Amino acid sequence: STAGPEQDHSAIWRKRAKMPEPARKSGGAAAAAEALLGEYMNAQVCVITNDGRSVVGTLRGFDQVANVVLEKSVERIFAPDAPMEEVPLGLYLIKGDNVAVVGKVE
Amino acid sequence: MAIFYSFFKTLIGKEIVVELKNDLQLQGTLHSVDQYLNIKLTNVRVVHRERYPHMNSVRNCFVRGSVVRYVQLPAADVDVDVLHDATRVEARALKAAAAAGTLAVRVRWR
Repeated sequence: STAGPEQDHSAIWRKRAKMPEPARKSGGAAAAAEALLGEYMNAQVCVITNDGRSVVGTLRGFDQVANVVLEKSVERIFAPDAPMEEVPLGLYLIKGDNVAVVGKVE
Repeated sequence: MAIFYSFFKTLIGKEIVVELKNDLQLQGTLHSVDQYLNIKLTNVRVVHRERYPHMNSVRNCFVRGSVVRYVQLPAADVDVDVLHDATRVEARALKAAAAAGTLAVRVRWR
């Protein structure tokens, strides 16, 4: 399907997986989840993981437990005695258990 | 059971330093907090940034509640007596609820 750039991806995935529409829970749960990282959607973010790694990418999705989907992600490796290394990773999902910080890159 | 959630809400707008379990320390203004004590900071500055170059261009960030070790608060912004009272009320309610077999507690934060 060749729709515009702002197509509803979650609806497309649900259709492909033949899943029903999610029942709209009371606005509370949805609003709380959105407040989490809603402001950072589609922005460049830097995710610091629990083990101290940092991954930079475009935030494409998240949920209440801070699982995070990053597009065009790149891991930045710093060492005190070496120049910074960048490892391109592509489209990544980082599990919320491992997420320590999500920072908006200016 | 939302005693510290309410407590942090009273600190929104204040300067705090969040120390994470991986030793990273972030200083910033408390922007918001949620039920999991996830914290959002604005005007973030990494304490000891020479050691942590990762976040040089980050001014706003979200910190997952589960990775926080300490939150350093300005003493002037904390009314210890109110906190003490609220904790005492909560502890009493918890004891009563545990005895009665129910654990639905509501504490009104003054």
